[in-house]
Amino acid sequence: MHRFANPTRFLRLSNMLQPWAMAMTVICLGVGLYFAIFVSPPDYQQSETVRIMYVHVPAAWMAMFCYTVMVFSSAAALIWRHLVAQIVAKATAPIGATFTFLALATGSLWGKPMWGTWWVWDARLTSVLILFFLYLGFMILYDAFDDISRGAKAASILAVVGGINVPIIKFSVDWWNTLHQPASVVKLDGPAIHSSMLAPLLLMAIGYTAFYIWTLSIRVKAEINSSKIRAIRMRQNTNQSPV
Amino acid sequence: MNQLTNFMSMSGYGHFIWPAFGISAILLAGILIHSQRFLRHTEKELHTQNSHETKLEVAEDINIVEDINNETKK
Repeated sequence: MHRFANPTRFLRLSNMLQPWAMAMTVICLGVGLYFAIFVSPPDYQQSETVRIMYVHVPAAWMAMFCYTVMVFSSAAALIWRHLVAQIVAKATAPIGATFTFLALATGSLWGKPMWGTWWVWDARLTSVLILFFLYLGFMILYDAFDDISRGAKAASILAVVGGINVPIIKFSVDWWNTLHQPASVVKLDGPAIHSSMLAPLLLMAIGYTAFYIWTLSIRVKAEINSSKIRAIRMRQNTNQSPV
Repeated sequence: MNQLTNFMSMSGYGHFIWPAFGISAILLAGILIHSQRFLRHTEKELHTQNSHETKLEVAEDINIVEDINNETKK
């Protein structure tokens, strides 16, 4: 991992990955959407609304995945002052927040016809809402200080402490009574979902992951540029100030 | 036409299903476009900063050359 602490080396890797991630996103989301909308069967209980699953579940998985990336990269940034890890955490936050918002919004659109309500304050929904606020808090804290390194440190600590929320979200459906259905794909005894639905779901999930890698590589490049710009400005300021 | 209406209605759940797909498409496209603009902006800024730096360095070099010329004249 320390090999990639060097921004130039990391940029080379991300430039190499970017076209692949882009192609994977287009292909997987294209084929996945075709199967999700036209081919996969309606559910015997939930009828056609089950199609919302194909955009809801991957968004929710990515919401948790992105936060996990943020926890580990923030920890690496705090422990080793790993510049690239810091940038990866910062670049991930808005993407993760988008996925989390999508999980909440599409979930709400699925909840209304199936549960009869847009929202309930139960464990799963509330813990995902907290996840959304953690993302927002991270982004706000990061930019809240004049000294960018102080903001980065405060935000990293928030990300790491908030990491406790990830297992809470995952197991909330088992620990508490909730309207939300329990896990049906990521289970110890294998997925409890027919392959005609599982295949498009997994395609969409791969597409969402590739989309994250694609967008992340763009944002990481932009963040590295930003830190270069800051460094140049700081140098100019010190050169200009009277000795 | 009737087939299309039937398909769009999704057994009466169309007005929940299509907004779910729509908002996903809009927000994902949005974050992608935002990221690309952010990158373009920093590239442009970096370019102007760099050319400014080079000008400063050139100006410094000219000053040094002038200083040396002045010294040799003395």
